[in-house]
Amino acid sequence: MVRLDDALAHLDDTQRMLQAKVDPDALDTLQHVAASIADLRRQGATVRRDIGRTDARLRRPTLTIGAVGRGGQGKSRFLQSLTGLSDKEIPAARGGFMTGAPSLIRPGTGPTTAEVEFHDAASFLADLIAPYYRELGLGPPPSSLAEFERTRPPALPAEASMRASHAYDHLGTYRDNLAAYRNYLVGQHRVQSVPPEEILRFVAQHDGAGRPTHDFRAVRRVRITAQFLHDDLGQLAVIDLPGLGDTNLHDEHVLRQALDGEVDLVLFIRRPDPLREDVHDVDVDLYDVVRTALPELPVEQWSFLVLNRVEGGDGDNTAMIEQYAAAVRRSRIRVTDIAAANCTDPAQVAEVFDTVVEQAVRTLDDLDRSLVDRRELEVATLLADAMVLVGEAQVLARRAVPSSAWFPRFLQLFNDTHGRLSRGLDELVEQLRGSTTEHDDELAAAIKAALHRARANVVVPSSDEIVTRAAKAGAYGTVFNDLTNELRPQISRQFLDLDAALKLRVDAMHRQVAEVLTDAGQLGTLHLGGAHEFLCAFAARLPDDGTTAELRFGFQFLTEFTLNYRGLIQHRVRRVLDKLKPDSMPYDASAGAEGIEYILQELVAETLFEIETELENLIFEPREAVFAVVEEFRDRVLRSQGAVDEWRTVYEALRSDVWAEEFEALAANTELFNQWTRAVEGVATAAGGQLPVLQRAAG
Amino acid sequence: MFVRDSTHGRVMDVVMLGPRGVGKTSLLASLYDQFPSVVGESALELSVTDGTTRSLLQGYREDLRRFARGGPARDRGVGGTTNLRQYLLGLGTNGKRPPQMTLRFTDMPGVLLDKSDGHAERVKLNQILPTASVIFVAIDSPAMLERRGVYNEEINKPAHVSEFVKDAVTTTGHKLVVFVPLKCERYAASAADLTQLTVEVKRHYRSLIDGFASAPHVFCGAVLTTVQTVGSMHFSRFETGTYGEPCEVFRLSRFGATYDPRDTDQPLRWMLRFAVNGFMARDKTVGEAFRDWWNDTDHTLTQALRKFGAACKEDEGFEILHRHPYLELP
Amino acid sequence: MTASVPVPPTRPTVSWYIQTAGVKPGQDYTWLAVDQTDDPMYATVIVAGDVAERPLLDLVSERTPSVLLARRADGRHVLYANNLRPAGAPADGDYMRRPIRATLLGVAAAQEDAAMPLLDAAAAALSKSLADRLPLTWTEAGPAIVPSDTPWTPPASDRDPDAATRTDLQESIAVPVADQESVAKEITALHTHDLNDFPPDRPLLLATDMFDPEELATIRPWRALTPAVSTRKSLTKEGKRRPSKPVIVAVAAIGVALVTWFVVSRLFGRS
Repeated sequence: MVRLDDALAHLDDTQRMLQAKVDPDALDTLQHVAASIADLRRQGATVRRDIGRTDARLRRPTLTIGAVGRGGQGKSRFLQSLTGLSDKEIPAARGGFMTGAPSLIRPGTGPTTAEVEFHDAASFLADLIAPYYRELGLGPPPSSLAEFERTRPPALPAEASMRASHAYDHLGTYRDNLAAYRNYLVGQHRVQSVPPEEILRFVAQHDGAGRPTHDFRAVRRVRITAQFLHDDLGQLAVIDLPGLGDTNLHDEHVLRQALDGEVDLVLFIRRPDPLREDVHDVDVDLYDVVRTALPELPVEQWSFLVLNRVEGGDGDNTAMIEQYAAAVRRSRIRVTDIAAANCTDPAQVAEVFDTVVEQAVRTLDDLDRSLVDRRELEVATLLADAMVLVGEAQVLARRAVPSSAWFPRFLQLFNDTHGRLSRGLDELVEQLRGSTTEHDDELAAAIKAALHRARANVVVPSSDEIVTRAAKAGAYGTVFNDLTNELRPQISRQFLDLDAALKLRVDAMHRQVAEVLTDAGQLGTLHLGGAHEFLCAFAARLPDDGTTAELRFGFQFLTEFTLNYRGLIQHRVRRVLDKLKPDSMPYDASAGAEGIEYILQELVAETLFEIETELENLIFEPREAVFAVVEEFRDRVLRSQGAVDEWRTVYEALRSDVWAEEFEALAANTELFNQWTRAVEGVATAAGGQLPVLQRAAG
Repeated sequence: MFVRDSTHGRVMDVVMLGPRGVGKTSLLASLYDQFPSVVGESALELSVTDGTTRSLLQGYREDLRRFARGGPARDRGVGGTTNLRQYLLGLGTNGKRPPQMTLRFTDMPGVLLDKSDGHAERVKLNQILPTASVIFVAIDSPAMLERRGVYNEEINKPAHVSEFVKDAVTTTGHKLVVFVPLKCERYAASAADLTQLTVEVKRHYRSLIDGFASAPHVFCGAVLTTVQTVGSMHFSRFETGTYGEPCEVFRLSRFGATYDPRDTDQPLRWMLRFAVNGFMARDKTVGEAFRDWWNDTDHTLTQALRKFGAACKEDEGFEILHRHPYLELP
Repeated sequence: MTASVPVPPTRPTVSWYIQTAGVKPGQDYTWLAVDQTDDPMYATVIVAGDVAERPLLDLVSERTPSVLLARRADGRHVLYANNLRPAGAPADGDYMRRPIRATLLGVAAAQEDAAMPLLDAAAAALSKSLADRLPLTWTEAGPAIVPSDTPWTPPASDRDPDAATRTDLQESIAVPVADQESVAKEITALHTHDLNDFPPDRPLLLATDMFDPEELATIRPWRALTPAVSTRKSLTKEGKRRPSKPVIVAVAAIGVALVTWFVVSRLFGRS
């Protein structure tokens, strides 16, 4: 899936690049393809998200049951009865409390513990604030807390609905009271343990005196671990979800998020009115919110309605239970089962809950199965759509095939340019041939400098030093041999710098050839860099499918050619240095220190003279070698069989770069369409489909 | 071939030809050095009656020997010649006074080749050359071989020297031109170098050598002999002098090398072959014929020729460039 | 080539010429006239010619310092001093690293008093003070004469006029090299009339290592400076007087008469 999206993104980029260069006819097609790409990517994103959700659901270790009910219907009471927790941990609407943040209650052993998970700035803005902007059409949501605080959202249009006005007010409340909860959003600890008695602070929308609180606004959820009254509920968790008090966008959103990501079963808690009962709009609204939160699963398979039976007292509604159940069955509301229980009676609650869980476990596997099937179907649909897109895109790619309209003009241009290129190379070869007999001033200067250095640097020890060394070594013969061995590398070292001069010669040659290609050959428009880089980059762009074998060989031959000290000079210097080997001048005992000094001075001077002679003989060689290389290159790329065809292939592919003004980019630019084709192939491969072999755009 | 001279009898003129510094005087000194031993093989004898000749040539011999010792002092060898000079060597059968013939060597400063005809010594050279029977063309070998011969034109001036030789060999008579590449110590060890040297000599004097065959009234032989006048000193390198001029530097060929000339007898042997053959074939007066018959001179000379002529070399640096009957052994 | 005939100098005293070389191969030994108006070619004529009835070059060494003072047949006195080593010469010698030497040639006019500067030059040559006084300079173009407004003269020496009267011009003396200073004194003490009276077939001064005493005795210089003797010694008694021409003619005539008589008597005696 990710690969497909990457391939689509690449295709989209290519498409955007092409748009600037195509004719109107192709532009229509291209825009159509662009729209399909956008659709497909959106579709892909949805599928990816759904798969992620399904995956998360299948990985969840516990069965999570969400309790949903409007204020005063007995939801909190039901949960208290189920978990044995009190008002302190599960706020009840009776005291004017409203659940502002979901609490997940998991069974555990030991005393009750709780931890609060806060939003960070990013999730706060994305999950809580952004939906208001989206829903109310307020433009782009703020990207930072500072921006949210600084910029008041634009006013609603006058004809806005009541619901919108309410929501707008809610957003205002978030903004106006940001200071009160901001610390939680930017604090170090996303998760904070709290004592059970403090839980209320973080989940309730009002305090005990009915004054609004704001801490809950920063809370993502509260996790409570408590000892349930029935200890056989190990794999279960319940979640206390906000009801829908009034048209509260926040509550609805929190509810949807919880249902989407965390809940396996929903229990609607409803306390029928003892006097007159019917299914109200608010009931249906709440049902619809739940139904649409997980649209791919029929809500009737994973929801239960628990009717809160109030026994005795003013509120006794025992008589109405059956009536209400019948009314629900008549309405749009569909649930798996409807049960009744006195929510204050843990025994009844436990009994109902057991029934619910028993049924839920039975259907949950089926639900999961159907969910996976659905995801697979969606993926298959997406890939099929991608293949449709590929089909559309290929229509464009076919335009790369040369058409009769531009080819004659291309041939004319190519023949002119190839002619100039040939003349340019021929002239260069002749120029280099002529220069083989010219004096190479740079190399001569380098050689002269090296010899000058050598004559100054290579110094034979004085006879006094030789006497001293002989005293140490024991014999003049040994000193003489040692000195010859020392002098040889000392001399040869002086000539290493000639490497640079040789390199200059090759660089100049590459520059000259590159100049012919960029000027006469008009390849300068490719902007491939200077001289050697140009030649290498151009060679790299030649197709390696065998259609330009001679050119590739020629360019490789040219760019790989080097001249260096090791290859050209070293062996000559070494050969001369043999003269300074002890065995070519056997020491004679009568010579003494002065004799050694004399002979060594003479031998060093003589060796340098001979090196000078050798290097002077060499002075024409770099130019000769360079000439030979360029001549060979010229013969390869101009004279060999099929070379003209190879150049035509190359120029054809590059024609819109070389003669930009002559060819409409799309019609002529085979290179661009080859890129397009490759991008389309990428999509096809990612979609796993088989594509017909595309015809390459070549003449 | 021989000039009759009132004091010296039959005189054969021998000219040392070549530009400055190529080794004319050294070659002359070497010939003088070798004379006694080469001639001593036969029943001939060498006589020096002239004190100037003896003391100068003796002095030059010593200069060569001193140069041969080499070493840090860098003795410069034979000094440059300042004046045209003639040296007389008598050659005849043992015990006969005066000797049957006199070899008159002319040595000169190389600069004479560039002097105008008003120069007194140049006038003298112009007189001597046409009468000369043997011309030694001294050649500086390093200048010819090193650095692809870049210094050859400046030092050996082959075309210029050739003009003088041509002038000399256009006069009637028998002539011998001996090309003597000198300072060959360094190249003698390598047959390839020697071959290259002979090739270069022939190339540079091509037109001259070719001319020997075409001169109608002249019988001119030509020989090439490479010599090592001291043996112990090798050409080492050219150094650049104060004014950019090329300076030849020599060094001791090995530790402890001493005076050890090689092949300096060769030009001498060829010259003697030529001289003695020519002497035997001369137009004799009745008196001379009688004296020769009486003394059995021809026999003695033939024997001598066979003795010292046998050791003439003809390969690896030695070559007869143009044959002449007087170069043959009887 | 057209031969240009060298012009003899016309100055009333001495014309000086110097022969030397430059560093480069093309700058071989050549004659320079110290006075720009003189023709250096004339020096070559003098050197190639005779002095004291012998070739000049036969009297001096090519290799070692020699000094010669003698008279030509035309009456001009000539001083020839060679193998001088001027201090200003290029230190490394010529391109073959041979030391550059110089020769001074002085040719006096054929008239009285003209030859006196030659005596100073000869004395300076013997006392080794001549070489450094030569008006020479070397540049890339080769050797050249240092231009001067006044005519060049050799280093002057103190004359001893009294010594001159005692000069015996007939004797010929060989002096060891170590006694050069005394010979220099003797030379500078000579008078004009000494020079004019001196026999034209003898050199006045000959300093060279070329000859042994026997050879010197035949040349009979007035003073010979030579390494061949260790003490001053007279050459005259050992010198063999050459028979004079009349004697030769007389002896030849007697011989011819005798032969004629012998032949005639034999022929006519038989008949």
